[in-house]
Amino acid sequence: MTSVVVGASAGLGRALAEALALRGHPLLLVASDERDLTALAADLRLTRGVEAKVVAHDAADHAGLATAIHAALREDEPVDALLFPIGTSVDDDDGALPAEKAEELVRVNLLAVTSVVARLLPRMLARGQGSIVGFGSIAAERGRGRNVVYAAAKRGLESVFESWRHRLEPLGLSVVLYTLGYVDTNLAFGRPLPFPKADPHRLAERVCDELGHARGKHFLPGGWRLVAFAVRALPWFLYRRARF
Amino acid sequence: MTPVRGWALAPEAAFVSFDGGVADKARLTRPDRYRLLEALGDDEPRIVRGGGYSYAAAGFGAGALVQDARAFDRILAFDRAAGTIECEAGATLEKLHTFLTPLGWALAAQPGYPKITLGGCVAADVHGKNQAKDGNFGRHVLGLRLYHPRHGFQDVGPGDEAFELTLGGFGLTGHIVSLRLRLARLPSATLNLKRQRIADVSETLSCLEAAHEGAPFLYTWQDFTARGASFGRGFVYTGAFATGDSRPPLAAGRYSPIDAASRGWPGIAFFNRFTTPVFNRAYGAAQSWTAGERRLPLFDFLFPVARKVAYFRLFGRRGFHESQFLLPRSAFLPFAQDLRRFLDKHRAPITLASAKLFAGAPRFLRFDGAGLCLALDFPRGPEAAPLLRFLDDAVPAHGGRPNVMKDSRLSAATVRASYPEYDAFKEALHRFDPARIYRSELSLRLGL
Repeated sequence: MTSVVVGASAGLGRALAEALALRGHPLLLVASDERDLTALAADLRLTRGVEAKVVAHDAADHAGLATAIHAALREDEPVDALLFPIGTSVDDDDGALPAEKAEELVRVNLLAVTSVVARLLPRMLARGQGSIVGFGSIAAERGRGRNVVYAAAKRGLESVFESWRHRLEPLGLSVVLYTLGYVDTNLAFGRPLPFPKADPHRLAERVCDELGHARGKHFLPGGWRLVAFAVRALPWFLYRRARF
Repeated sequence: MTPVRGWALAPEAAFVSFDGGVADKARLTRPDRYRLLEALGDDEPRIVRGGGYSYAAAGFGAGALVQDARAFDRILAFDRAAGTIECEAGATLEKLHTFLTPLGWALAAQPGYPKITLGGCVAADVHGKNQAKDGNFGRHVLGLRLYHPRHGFQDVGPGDEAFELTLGGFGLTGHIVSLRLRLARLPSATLNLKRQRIADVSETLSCLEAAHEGAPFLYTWQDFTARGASFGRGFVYTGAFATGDSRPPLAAGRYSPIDAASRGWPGIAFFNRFTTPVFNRAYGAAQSWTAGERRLPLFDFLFPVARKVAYFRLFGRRGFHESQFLLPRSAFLPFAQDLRRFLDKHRAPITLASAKLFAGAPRFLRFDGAGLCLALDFPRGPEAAPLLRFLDDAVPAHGGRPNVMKDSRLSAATVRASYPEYDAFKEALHRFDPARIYRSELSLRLGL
């Protein structure tokens, strides 16, 4: 009944791992640096008494990542939840990003998710039960001159989650994508932002409370729904002047 | 600096020392992954910060980039039989208390606020109310993992120079990443707190020594605004574990946290020459009305400040001074008499006077040694200057040493005069880190 958290070592991913451990879920924690993972796994084992395994692998190597996660699970080990608090952005993603950096953004934000799900889907379908949880971004609501490739990858993720929901919900799985605004982690740290940042622990508690029941696309926190609506509704002659 | 995934920096964050005395702006990072610790350029001046509860500016200043390392707060290993634990240094005393108490273990020595980090405890070589019996925090550290760009990650233990420099080294040797501690068995999660009267300052030492035999925890509260024969009257408190008690342990209540940034709120300075004696008299009277002996949950006993943070707020935005110093036993009474004569002429509003017994061997700049430790709190402001000058002279003159972590305006000259190993510390520190990349307002002020 393992919960797999891809991107578990810091920020929202760590908050999710901690919230799941608090609820007694055995864990498989995935991130790029083994040092972060072994520290987190040890802490959760000791303080929450849950089993915690780790897989250290770079998400940019999405095929290798999927293989490594699959190999870390026992053949008969059921996967109860698959969570992807993973994402990366860069400051100079303004349309002129060099090819390798653009490709890395697509690999980490989109392909890591699709490859891992593809690899683990058979065992989840065999069980007929389980959750797939993804995290999108308010940046994907409408393209702007910043975070160009990042937003495209996250928009792609939205489409993938819609497709998965269409195919997998009738087969017993719950598929949910949370669209996040600003979260108080290193992704948003140090920037002057027009809206307040959410506490990752509160978000993690919400996600875990709804695990298995939440489906579709949700804004987290819900208030971002209004921001998204406003952004989409702005006529072009106003939107082109917006500098957020 | 090579771009590393996850890197983030706040270009201008505001910092203030907990006593309100030193304020500055600095670049701030909050590394939450190990690779971010290695991401800074080798020559970038920096300082690592925990909870920021040092009264002096040990966690910012001198143009250093501040690394808030509290994300490294995980418990790594625990040997239940041997009573040892290994954790990352950003772990708070509260986190360890919550984990260890149900298992029958506790930190052997710890200071009185739950959000202080273990790294801070090492960097200031802190003490608790049981110093004479159990020594400073450092006595129970079996080893630490230190990071410095020049040396990488190093595992060091007692006897290694890097270890000895780091203990009470104010973070100047590098980032204390994790540490191994020897714990103390916890006979009970409940304490019996006993209170006995002290008639005046001359009884301080004898009351402490008499009480020391039976109780691991021991401290005084005394009124240094009382005039005449009752100068220094107050109470000695002893804490002993309530063993053989079949009653269930008391649960610790909630508390609202404070930190250096919020201490100055709401900004009304209550303590002055007139209010302070009244406050002290009222506090003393209120204490007399409570039972002479009562039970306390361990959390409340270890962290009494947690529910008394209003006290720090009463100093307003300007803040306060704390002068905490260690005097040889024989020097305490002469010092107290000098202080009393001074206070007869300059009525300083001493809002807190508390004494503890100390035993130990001092090294480098550690606040350690044998004698009597006295802490005096008073409001910050121009009126404090005469008392500060008096203490700057009288403490070294009586063979005492001031706690570097408590006084944010201690001068290099005073520290040099009070700490015989000042030069040895400075030389060894420069050997370890010739470029002196770890620095703070404290290190700059003290000429390190």
